[in-house]
Amino acid sequence: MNWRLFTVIFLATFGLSFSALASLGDFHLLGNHQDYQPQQPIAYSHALHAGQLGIACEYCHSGAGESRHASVPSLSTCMNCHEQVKGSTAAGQAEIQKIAQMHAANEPVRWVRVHNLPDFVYFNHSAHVNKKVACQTCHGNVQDMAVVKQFSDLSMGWCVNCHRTQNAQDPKLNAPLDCDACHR
Amino acid sequence: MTDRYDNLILTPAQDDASMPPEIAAELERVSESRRRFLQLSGLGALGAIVAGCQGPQMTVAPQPKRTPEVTPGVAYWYASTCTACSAQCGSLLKVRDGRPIKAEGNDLHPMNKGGLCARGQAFVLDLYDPERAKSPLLDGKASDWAGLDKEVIAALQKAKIVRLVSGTQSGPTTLSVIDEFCKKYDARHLVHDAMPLSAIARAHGQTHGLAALPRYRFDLARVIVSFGADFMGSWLSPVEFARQWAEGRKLAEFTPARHVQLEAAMSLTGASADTRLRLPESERGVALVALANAVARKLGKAEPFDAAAPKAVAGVDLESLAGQLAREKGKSLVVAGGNNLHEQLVVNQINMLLENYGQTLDLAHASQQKQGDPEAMEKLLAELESGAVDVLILWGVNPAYDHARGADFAKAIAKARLSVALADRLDETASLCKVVATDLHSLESWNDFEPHKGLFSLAQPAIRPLHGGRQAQESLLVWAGAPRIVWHGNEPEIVGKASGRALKPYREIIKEFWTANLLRGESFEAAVERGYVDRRQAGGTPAGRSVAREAGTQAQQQAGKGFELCLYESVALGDGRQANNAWLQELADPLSKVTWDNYAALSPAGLASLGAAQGDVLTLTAKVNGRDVSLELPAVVQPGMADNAVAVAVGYGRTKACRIAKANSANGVIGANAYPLLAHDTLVSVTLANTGKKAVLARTQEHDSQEGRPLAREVSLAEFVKDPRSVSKVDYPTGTMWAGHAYKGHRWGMVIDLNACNGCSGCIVSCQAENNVAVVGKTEVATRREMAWLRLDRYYSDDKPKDQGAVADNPSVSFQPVMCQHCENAPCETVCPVLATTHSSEGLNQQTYNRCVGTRYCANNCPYKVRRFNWFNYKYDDPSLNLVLNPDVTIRTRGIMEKCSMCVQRIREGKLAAANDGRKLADREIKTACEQSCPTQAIVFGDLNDKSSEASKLAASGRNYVVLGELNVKPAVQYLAKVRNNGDVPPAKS
Repeated sequence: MNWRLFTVIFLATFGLSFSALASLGDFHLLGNHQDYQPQQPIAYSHALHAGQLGIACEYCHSGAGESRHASVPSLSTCMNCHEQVKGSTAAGQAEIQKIAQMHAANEPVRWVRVHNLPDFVYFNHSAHVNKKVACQTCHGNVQDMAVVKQFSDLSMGWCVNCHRTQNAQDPKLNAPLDCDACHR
Repeated sequence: MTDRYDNLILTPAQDDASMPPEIAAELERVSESRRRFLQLSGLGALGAIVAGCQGPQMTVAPQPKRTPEVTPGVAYWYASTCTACSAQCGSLLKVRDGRPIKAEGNDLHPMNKGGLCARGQAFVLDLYDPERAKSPLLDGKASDWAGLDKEVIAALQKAKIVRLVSGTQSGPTTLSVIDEFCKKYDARHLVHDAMPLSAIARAHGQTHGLAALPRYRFDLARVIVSFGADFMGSWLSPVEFARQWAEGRKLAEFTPARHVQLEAAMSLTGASADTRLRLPESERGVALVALANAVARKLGKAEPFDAAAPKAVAGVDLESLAGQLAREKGKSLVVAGGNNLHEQLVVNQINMLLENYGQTLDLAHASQQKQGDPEAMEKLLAELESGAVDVLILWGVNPAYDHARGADFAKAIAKARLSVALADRLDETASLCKVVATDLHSLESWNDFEPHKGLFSLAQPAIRPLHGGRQAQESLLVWAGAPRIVWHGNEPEIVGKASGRALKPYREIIKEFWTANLLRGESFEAAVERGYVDRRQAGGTPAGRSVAREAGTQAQQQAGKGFELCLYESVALGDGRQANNAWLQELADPLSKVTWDNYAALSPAGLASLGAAQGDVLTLTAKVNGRDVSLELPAVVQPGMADNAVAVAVGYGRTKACRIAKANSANGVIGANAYPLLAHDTLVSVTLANTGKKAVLARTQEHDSQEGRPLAREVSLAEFVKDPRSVSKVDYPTGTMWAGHAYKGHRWGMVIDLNACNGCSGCIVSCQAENNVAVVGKTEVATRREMAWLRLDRYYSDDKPKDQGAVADNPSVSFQPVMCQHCENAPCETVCPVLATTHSSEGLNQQTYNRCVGTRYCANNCPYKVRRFNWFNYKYDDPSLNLVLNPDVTIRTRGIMEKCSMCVQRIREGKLAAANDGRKLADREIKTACEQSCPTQAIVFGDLNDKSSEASKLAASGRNYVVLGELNVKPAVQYLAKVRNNGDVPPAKS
């Protein structure tokens, strides 16, 4: 058994596939979905709505200030405008027609979830929104994204680090660092 | 060449040197390269796979047409009324994502004031019961409402004799619907309660001209004497009475009320009494008559009855008792259990002598919580058996199971021309009915109630109907000719002759009735939000007429031979309607600590006289009203019972709609049905025999003594008056080698008042509902792997010296709820190898489930043994029950340790609400689940860093102590010692 050859071949295979996948921009350690940018069933562009048109985040993601979920908006929120606005490009018109049909048929849009935490983690949006943490702090410049991408790595270390630095800057903040704040 | 290879069988003795060298080299080279190829390609593939791993895609599908008032993730609370029993306590339902996940008592409701018992807490699980009927049924097959209504209306129109049997119904709108139906078809309405209290109503009919149960005021009584009425366990309105009892025991002026219980069986109420005396069932009447005469003498009045027996009853000092009662004229209360008219007449006489009517007994606001009439049910059975009944409608009742002549009922139902069940599942009765007009569950219905005359409450649905049921009142209205809607997709079709009334859902009918009769200008929505309307005004109780002497003579006629039977409703199952509820089946009986079973409880002497021991299966045979009844039950030792008494719980032995029985019983049935032994007004004597078989009892506690340690502490009132701070004095060293924790913000702590805790176990089910505590099943409980985070320790103690082994005849009973004590110097925190359990900055011991690897060292080290391990994946066997889970608490899987978290999710929610509103957190704003549900408010949670909080004040009250304080773990949970008012104390300062 030639151990040297063995090691070389193994490392080469692993290293090649590793860098091949990494170069595809799709590689992370297990559980880390930073830069995850899946295609969605409706080609909704935040760059257009939140960026160009300047619609506030909480107009659609209305739960952010009240509940643990920021919540993805219902089709009825879309139809608030798109009842009238039928689109100016062919692609836009096709997408708007799609949502109008789904709304009429009472069928939900099955968005691909971009930001997700494990079941044993409890995260509450309203606690952060009410402490004036900007959406962009964690979600990046969503108003520039045509397709939503996960900007931060959302790991526990990343969360705790922010809590620590913010507490250091503002002693009255009391961002929790206890385990049971998020793991209950 | 072949012969050279023939001998090439390689044995250990043979080495390569014996093989021809050129062949060995060839073999070596070939296998080496093949081996290497396989190894390298396998490793290469592995490398590629590991590099490419990623998780599955997750989907978010929001509601297409959003309900504007509902924000996902926020809980909405709806005021309603609990119908787990007939007490009708006000409740609040916590609804998340369109479904109720937790019930709480309505703290505004004047009856229960926020408390809710175990059965009320478990009620929310029944909603998701997979055994609920999914559609209306006709002849056992799924039907549609149109076909069913046609059949029923046709039968009703032809019928001459129509009988409608319902449970206790008190709501004015409901009663008007019943009235309308009965008028239309000249039907008679009967009420069936499994364990009725009709004798009390009839007695009041004779003495006060009002055949109703009074509204009892235990809080206004300085002396309470109960002859076997388990008023905090299952008698009439336990949550209301427990709260009243606790309010009467306030120790502020050192004058708590005195509670004396005389009973044959050990009841929950008896366990908490100041003085409990054993009184055989057959002597209850004798004792009542003797007490009546003694009270009359003390008050200088003529004796109302002729005592057939000597004045004193063995072991009971009735003179002293009469004296105590007489001293508190107008502020005392005597009640009696059972359903014997003559005994209740004597009770009325005693209360009249003591001038309690209008004070502790209120007939102006009579109770409408039990209206069952056993005599009417007997008449109905006779009618059914004679084939006279054309249409029989059974609404929310199960007489084929819970009537004493249930077997006869079962046969007789078939004799009705048409039998209709308004039930939500195919129980013993509904499965025999031709038509099952599936009812909605209470949590899906609009309803109204009037538990006391003048106090009205509402129930509103917390969820859209899950299955194809229809509200029972709507069914009755449709059959009475009201037009109804049939939906074809989104298009309604109005069917049925227009009866001059506009078509309305039942909600509108209630709204109209209430607006016309009850609301007096207030909006219906405001009443619904509050849950009740209180129209009780100060009113007079009618003057009473003395009871005939004959009643006393009749009351003393109960003769017993052999063992005397005490049938009772258990705290866990009540009358048995929730037998398919796993939370309740797994709830340990507060006294016997038995789960998943009923049993025959006997005193140690009683059991010894049969030559039997605990766990032996006994046969019970009796002749009840001419019928021979025989049952088999395991024996359980219950100290404190009269030696000739045997106590059996009803509510077990269900054969239908009880699917959880299959995995949790020996023969597919949990326990045995004791209803055939029910004789309302006569004493039942039973013969017991030891079969020699043994049963496995799944008990959560098997050790009954405190071994002389100060665990559940008690002082007598005299001791307490002498030194109110005697309990909090410690005699163990309190120095510590630990640096301690600095609590800059909140420091959470809890104080549990053992003087108020009566062992009802509502806290345990509340915790289970709130924290997604799993059900482990009978086998696991028997293997000592119970999962309840909160356990209720029950100790027996007496004054006998320790070396006298035998249990006392009538020991003192103490209860102590024990959960994670959140120790300062927690022994569990120091031994976790992965730091899954740590101390939070606010004083809690926090368990981080995702770190836990299941070493179980923490549970080993915990001196209070409050940690629970998930030995298996304890899932509900039917996924529809998962709808009850609380989304704010992690689900634990196999291999994880869990324990009381002090409801950290509620703490965080409370803090967040205050932070979001920009205000300071108020004391008692955060309530743990156990604290919230407790009917007597025994548990108080609060911030120990805030000296003005109630928890801080109680923790410094002088009655406070910690359990196992000498271990120096410094628990955050403190207890307040129980004070028994059982000595000679001076009369109250009033």
